[in-house]
Amino acid sequence: MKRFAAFGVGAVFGLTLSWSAMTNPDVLRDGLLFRDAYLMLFFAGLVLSLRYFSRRSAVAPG
Amino acid sequence: MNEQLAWYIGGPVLGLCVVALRWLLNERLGATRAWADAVALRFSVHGWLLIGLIVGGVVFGLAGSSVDGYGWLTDTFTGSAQWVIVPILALSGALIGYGARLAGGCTSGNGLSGNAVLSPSSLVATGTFFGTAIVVSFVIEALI
Repeated sequence: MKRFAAFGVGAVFGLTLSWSAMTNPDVLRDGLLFRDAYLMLFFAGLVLSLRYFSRRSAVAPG
Repeated sequence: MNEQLAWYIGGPVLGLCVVALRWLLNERLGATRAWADAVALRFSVHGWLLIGLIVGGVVFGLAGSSVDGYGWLTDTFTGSAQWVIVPILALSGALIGYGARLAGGCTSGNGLSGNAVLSPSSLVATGTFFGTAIVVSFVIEALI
């Protein structure tokens, strides 16, 4: 059961990373050169949601 | 799936993945540890996380997306200079692995899991590797 859960979370993680083009070097490079705000907005959205879900669940991740 | 997922969807979904792993397994999401377990042939929960991660990427690829090289790297080094890509990728991978282990986590371990609980070491590690990546990107842009 644990393996299945880890596999499922990993699959969603991998699919979302790929779909968000976080696997595309050009997207990362444009973000690091401040040509495109997507990378920074993506991380901002991620951190904010993480804080929100962590508080809602009263379980701190990490 | 040909359209890039909106940042306000992709970011929160990754955040949910971190929380879900904590809820379900009381584990911290970290790709470096998963790779370290795989290299050491330890088939832990993290090993299954890594397999899932790879499968998720493959599913996306099979759903219509195409892999067309390594962007700037394969655009810059073409023809007889193409061999340069292999040592660059190998060296980069080794440096990333070493640095991530030294820092106690990579973008997912420190950047996601650690920063979510405002861990000071994770904040410093994330600031360091993001700052370095930005500086190096600008240096490469200026030189090549």
